[in-house]
Order: sequence, then structure tokens, then C-alpha cells
Amino acid sequence: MQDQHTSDEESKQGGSGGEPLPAAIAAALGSRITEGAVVDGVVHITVPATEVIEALRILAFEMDEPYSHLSDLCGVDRPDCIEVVYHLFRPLSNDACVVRVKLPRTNPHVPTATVLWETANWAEREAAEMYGITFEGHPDPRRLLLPDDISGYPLRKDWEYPQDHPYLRREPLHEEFPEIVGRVRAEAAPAEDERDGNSK
Amino acid sequence: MDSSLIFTIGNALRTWLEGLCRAHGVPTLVVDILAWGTGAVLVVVLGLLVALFVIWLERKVAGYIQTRLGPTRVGPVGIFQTAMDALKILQKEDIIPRGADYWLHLAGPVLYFTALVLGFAVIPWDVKATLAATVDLNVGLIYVIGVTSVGVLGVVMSGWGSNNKWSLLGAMRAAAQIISYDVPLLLALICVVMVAGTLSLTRIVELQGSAGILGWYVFKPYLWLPFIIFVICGTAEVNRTPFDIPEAESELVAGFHTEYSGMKFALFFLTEFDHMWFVGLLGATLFLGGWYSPLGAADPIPGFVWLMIKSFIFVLVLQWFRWTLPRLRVDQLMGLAWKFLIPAGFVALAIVCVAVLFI
Amino acid sequence: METRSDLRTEELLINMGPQHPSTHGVLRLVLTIDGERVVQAVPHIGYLHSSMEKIAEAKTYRQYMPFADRYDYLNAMGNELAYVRAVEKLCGIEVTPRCEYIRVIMAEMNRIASHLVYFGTLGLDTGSWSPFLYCFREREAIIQLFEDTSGQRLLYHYFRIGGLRNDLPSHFCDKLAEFLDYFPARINEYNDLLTNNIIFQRRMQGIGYLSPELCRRYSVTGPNIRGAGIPYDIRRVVGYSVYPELEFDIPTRPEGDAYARHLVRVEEMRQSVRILKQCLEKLPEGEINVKVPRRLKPVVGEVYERVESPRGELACYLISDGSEKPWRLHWRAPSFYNLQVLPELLKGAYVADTVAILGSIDIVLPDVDR
Repeated sequence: MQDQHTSDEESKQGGSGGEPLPAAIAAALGSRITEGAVVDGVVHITVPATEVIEALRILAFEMDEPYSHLSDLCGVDRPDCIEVVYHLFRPLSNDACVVRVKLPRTNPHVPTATVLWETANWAEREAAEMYGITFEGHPDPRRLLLPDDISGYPLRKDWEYPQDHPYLRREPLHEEFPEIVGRVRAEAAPAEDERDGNSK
Repeated sequence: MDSSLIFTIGNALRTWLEGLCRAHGVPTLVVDILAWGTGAVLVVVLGLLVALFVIWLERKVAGYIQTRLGPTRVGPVGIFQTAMDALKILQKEDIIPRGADYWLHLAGPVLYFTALVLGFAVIPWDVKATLAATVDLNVGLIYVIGVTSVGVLGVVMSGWGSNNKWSLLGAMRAAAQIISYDVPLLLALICVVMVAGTLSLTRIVELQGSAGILGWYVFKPYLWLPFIIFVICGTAEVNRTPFDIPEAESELVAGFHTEYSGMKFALFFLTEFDHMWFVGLLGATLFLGGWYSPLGAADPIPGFVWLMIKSFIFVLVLQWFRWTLPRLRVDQLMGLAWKFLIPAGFVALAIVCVAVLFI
Repeated sequence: METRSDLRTEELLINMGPQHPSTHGVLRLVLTIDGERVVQAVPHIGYLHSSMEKIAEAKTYRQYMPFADRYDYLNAMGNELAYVRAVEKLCGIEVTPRCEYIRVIMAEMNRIASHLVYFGTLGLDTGSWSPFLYCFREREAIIQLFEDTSGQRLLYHYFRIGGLRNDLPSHFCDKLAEFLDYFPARINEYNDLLTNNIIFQRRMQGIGYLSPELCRRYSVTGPNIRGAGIPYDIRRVVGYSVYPELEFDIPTRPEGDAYARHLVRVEEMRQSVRILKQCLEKLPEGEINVKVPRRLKPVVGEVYERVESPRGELACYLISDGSEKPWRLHWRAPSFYNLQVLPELLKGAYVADTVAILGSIDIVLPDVDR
């Protein structure tokens, strides 16, 4: 029943599908919106990276019914770009506005949202270390969750598992105790042969 | 009475030894030293045994308050549990942290323990406590306060010597707390001294016992306020909840004894529980008529047993406090001492002045 | 008094955690203290990071279910609820009414259990030991019911996409009704032990003041924002599952201090009891599972599904590319956002208040680090 996904539906998340944008948002943001749609009552808009803080400020503070609750901020790795997704809600309601910024895969830059919400601080630090996004003007651009010496950006789809990292080695036992592993394997090997012999 | 038999034997032994010394031309001072030493060792051993018992009791009481059983496995009702724990802790490695001041780190628990044990010297155990262990000092009360207050020096030494910030914070808190609470405690004790007219603990007990159970100071209305102040300050002196901020384990990890292990830690631990019992002994001596029986002079139970029962009432109350009350914050603790207890101490002093003049 | 100009005092930098009895796990707070006052507090997190979001991209939707239990371990049922609701919304699956009711029963029981742990550990943080054991006595009753139902005591893996693992055991409703009868009286008992204690009140009142403006700036949710006077509860705001059919109040307190947050949580336990009683009355008979395709392939799209966890707004952001595995899964963890406000609350507080304020925010560290 859900298998009939087509390429049309790919545009559902912020493309031209769905109902038109509410007039209030369209009027307030005007030409800042590059793409916009309403899917299941949720407003999805895409804005350019240079305009995002201004757009968020208008949404959060200058509208009649502002979307002032930043529920979440996270990065997403799309096939063609890196996205930063801001989930905004009206206070005490379920009216949502999802703001996206599409960034190039190489050297993505976006201004920080900590000027509007301090809570974006950690969320942006997490997105920065997971996706390699630089948040310009971030007050505390350190790593948050990952060890300092990890290479690459783990939540990107093209991230390679660093086999040489001490925390992330896949087979620590085999590397640290080769003689034990070798002995265990040597003991196990004839037994296997025996079993095979019995089964024959 | 049973206990007098022990003292009779003791005195007979002493007389015999003195005779032996004279016969061989040895100065009798040797016998005195021997007697004092025996008494001191007896008291220390008694103190350690009681500390083990108090720890066991604490765990049982805590279990009872918290709808669980407490220790049950080692011996009947788990009575030997703490003895086993003490043996275990003796085997532990004695860790001295890097950068610690070795001598201060070592001397801290020793001083803490010694200061308390010295306090036991003047506790009047029984009516005929003529063993050298108990000295009827005419300034007994001042001696007790002076000697036990030295313990805080041990705390500060161990806090500073551990090279740990939590220890240092705990030590600073302990110093502030004990100095603050010594003042109202002294005020409460002065009230007792004014009523009794003597500083000798033995004499204070004798004065209470002379008039039957109603002669006990706890039954004199003008000493109720000093009694309450004594209980509160006593709790604070032994660093127990709600006044356990020097070792507040949810804030300061373990306070001044964070970096201690093995026997040094055990020394802190035993001293704390012994201190609780000591406060109980002091309370029983000053307010509950010491060794006197509430049943009158005809009671066959030795006075020593009565003293133990009375002191353990205090111990149980302190344990009850610990397992039901939350902890005060450091500013509230200081506020309680300086804004409430010290003025209350002066009021109590005034009341006792009037009472002594007119009653 | 003469002051010596050569007498130098300095602030003390002290490391609270990651090994500390009261940081509720492995939170590390670097405190700059001036005597007993906190000048600055810098939280360091990440000690429990377990790549929950990366794991999701390598698992199918069904395979990820047990992982959903595992970060906010005190609210395993609530996490499962957020995850299954997100997947079901993405796939367009409607579950049966009985299933919805059982899910709400489980989530509310878990809320009570979680608040009991909060209550007990706050007691430990403030130096009162006994409430902890009393709270765990009642939590044990709830966990026993969970164990009878799902076979697990902490991480249940009970919800399934499109239904539940199994129906309730036969004695469940009676046992739960019995628990709901005696539990409100037990809450009074805890209040006598801790909430109404004058020392506890003096310690909790007036510390960790959280203003509505601070809540907005830091996206604080859950009992913390309700303790600041804002009735923000996802159960009411979104009205997911069967919550619109149930009567319950959203307790708020205007004070905004640690004690207000405490009172809100205590009152929430009573409201959960109310919800559970109604659920038991209304619990319909019937099937618990609907038919779900073996190979679950949602349409291309995304959902952002919010539920109210005991700690606040828990959301599951799920993006599907049409394959069997999620393209991206992101948890909006309430503790992650609530914890950020801590440095603001700690400014000027006493060292002793640090643990009380941290306890009153009620974080779960795996929920922060995910």
C-alpha cells in the first residue's frame, strides 16, 4: 500500500506539491521564500542561507501569531545538499512551520540562530560536528558529543568508518590479543573438522 | 551491685601491685601509670566496640525507617556485620593521593580520633568509677569542650592535606560549622553549670541524683531551652543530617574524607559514630541524671547500664533525625546558629539566672 | 578593620562530575566558585553518546524499535510511543482503539514511575535518604506490572508498529486498579516526608528561578515550563492518541522556582492516576494489532511527531526515502534542551543549590547524549 512512491512525491518535502502557503507567511517573508508548501497542515518553507536569520526573526517575533517556539534544529544529509531544518511552533498550539536551508556539500555555511534562541547553541554544535556545517558567529563552536580526535562528519552518508580510531575499532579483541585469538581459533578449528566429519 | 565487684577487684589488684613495688624498691608511680594505661585502653576498646554497635544500629534503624531489613546475614540479626566490615577495611590499600601533604594526610584522622577519645576520660561511668580511666576533674566540662574542639583541626588538616578541592571545601565547611555551633553549645552548658554550681561532671550527676528522678535537669522547666539547644548543637557537632554539610555526599562527594581509604577512613568512620555516642553520654550526664536509675536507689541494675541506655536514647534520636530530614544549606546552617540559636542561648541564660536567684 | 592589599583571593575551578554522586549519570559541570557561590557553570556532555541517530540509518523500521527504549531509560514506553507514532504516521497505519488505550496506559504508568525516580533522587540530592526507598517501593509495583505485560523491567520493547507485542495479561486491570486506589495516599506520605518538610521547602524555594522568557529562549518544556506558569503540555496542545477523550488538568505553578517544578511533578502523578482510572473504565475490547506489511516501506516524506515525555516535549523527526530503512531519524530530546538552561539557573547559586537545581530540572543523561 505504501510501495507506490514515485519521483513526484520526493518534491513533497518542500517542493511545489501540497496546498499554497498561508497568506500571512507569504506576505511576511515575501521573496525570501525560494520554495514553500503546506503538507498535512504543516508549513514547509525553504529560504537561502543568507536570509535565514531574518526569516526566522520575522516568523518568531514579527508576525501577528508568531512561531516563537524553536522545537528543534537539526541537520539532514540530502542526496544533493546538506539541509539545516528548523522546527518552529506557535506557543501552546500545534501550528508548525518548518524552515529549511539548503547548503552545498562542500564547506556549508549558515549564520547562527543563537541570536534568536540560546537553545540553538547545542543543537548547532551537534549539527556542526555531525555534518560539518559551519555556523557563523556561533558563541561556542566546540565539539559537543563526539571525541575530539574523530575525523569526518559521522552523520553524512559518505562518512567512512574510521578503523584506526581507538574508540571505534571494530575488532579490538583481535588486535590487542592476537595470540589469544589465534590460540582459540586453533583450538576451534579441529573441532569443526571433527563435527564436519561426524556429519558426513 | 554487680559493677562494684569489678571495682573492688580492681582496687585490690592495685593495692597488691603497690605492695609488690614497695617490696622491690620500685617507685609506685609505675603502678599509677599501669592503672591509667589499663583504664585508657579499656575506654578506647569500649569506644571502638560501641562504635561498631552504633554503626550496626544505624543500619538497622535506617532499614526500619526505610521499609527494609538492614544487615541480616553475619551473625544473629546481622550483629557482626560491622565487625566483618571493619576487618575488610583493614585489608584495604592505604592510598595517599599524588600531591598530598603526607604528614597532614596522616595526622588528620589520628588527631580527629584522639581528640574524641580524650573526651571520654572525664565521663563518670558509675557511682564508684574509681578506675583510673575516669578522672573526676574539677573543670571537667571545660576540659570536654576544649579537647573535643581540637578534632576540627584534624578535619581541616585532612581536608588541606588531601590535595582535593572537594576535601578542602568540606574542611572549610566543617571548621565554620563546628566553630559556629560551639558558641550556642557553650551557652547551653553554662546554664547547666549555673544550676549545678560546679564544672565537675561527677558532681553534676550527683546533684541530679540526690532528689530522685525529678531532680534530673531535663525535668526542670527552666532547663528545657538549654536542653533543646544542646540536642540541636550536638547534632551539628557530630556532622549529622540535617547538619552534615561538611561531608554532604550529594554535593561534596564525601567532603573532607574523600581521599581516604583503608584504616584511615575507618578511623574517621568510627570516630563519627563514637562522637555520636559521646554526645549521648554527655547529654545523659548533664540532663538525664547520668548513672542514676529512674527507679530509685533500690534498683539492682548497675548505674553503668543506665548510663548506656540513656546515651543510646540520644543516639536513636540522632539516627531518627538523619533518616527523616533533608540537609540544610550552608547559609541556612550559619543563619540557624547565629540568628537563632545564639540569641536563644542568651535567653536561656537569662531565664536560668532568674531561676537560680529565686528558686 | 585594615584590609591587606597583598592578600590575594581567587576563584576556585572545580570539576563536578563525570564521576559525582549527584549529577544523575555522567554529566560534567565545570564550576567556577567564589567561596560557596557559583560564579559560572559550564556543562560538558557526550560521555554517553551512543550514535542512536546513525544506528537508525542502518536498521529497518522494525529493527530500530529496541533502540528507542534505550536512551531515556526512565521513559522507555514514552519513547516507543513517539517512535511508533512517527512510523505509523509515515506509513498511514491506523491502530485499533484498544491498542491506543493500552499505549496511553503504559505511557502514563511510565510517567508515574519516572516522576517517582525524580522524587526519590531529589530527596537524595537534598540529603534526605528515605523518600528514595519509599518511591522505589511504589515504582516496583508499576515495574512488576510492566514485567508481567512485556517480560522486561526497564527497557520494554512492548509497542510494535501497528500494535503491541501482546495483549494485557488477565490480572493486569485488577492489579492496576488496586495500585491506583492506594497510590494517592502514598503520594501524601511522600509529601509528609519531603515536600512539606520545612528544611526542604527553605532549600527549594527561591532557587533556580526560571522565567517564561528564559523558557522561550531555551525551549524549556515539560514540568519545567509548567512550573513557570505556562500550561504547555503536548498531550493537550497536540491531543495525540486518545488524550482528547480523557479528562485531566495540566498543573501549573506561577513561581518558577525549583519548588514550583517539584510541586508540578507531584501533581502530575495525581493527574496520571486520574488518566489511568479513566483509561481502565474506557478500555475497549477487541483486536490490538492491525495488519502491517512484512516489508515496511513508507512513502517518501517526513514526519515530526511530538509526545509529552515526563521530561517535556519529546519528538521523533523521521525522514523516509521510500526504502526499508529511515533516511534520517532525529530525536528532539527534552533533556538535551532543558539542560542548556542550567548555567543560567546556577549563576549566583550556592554549591549546595547546584545539585538541587539540577535535580529539579530532572534530566536523564542518555537522553541528553543520545
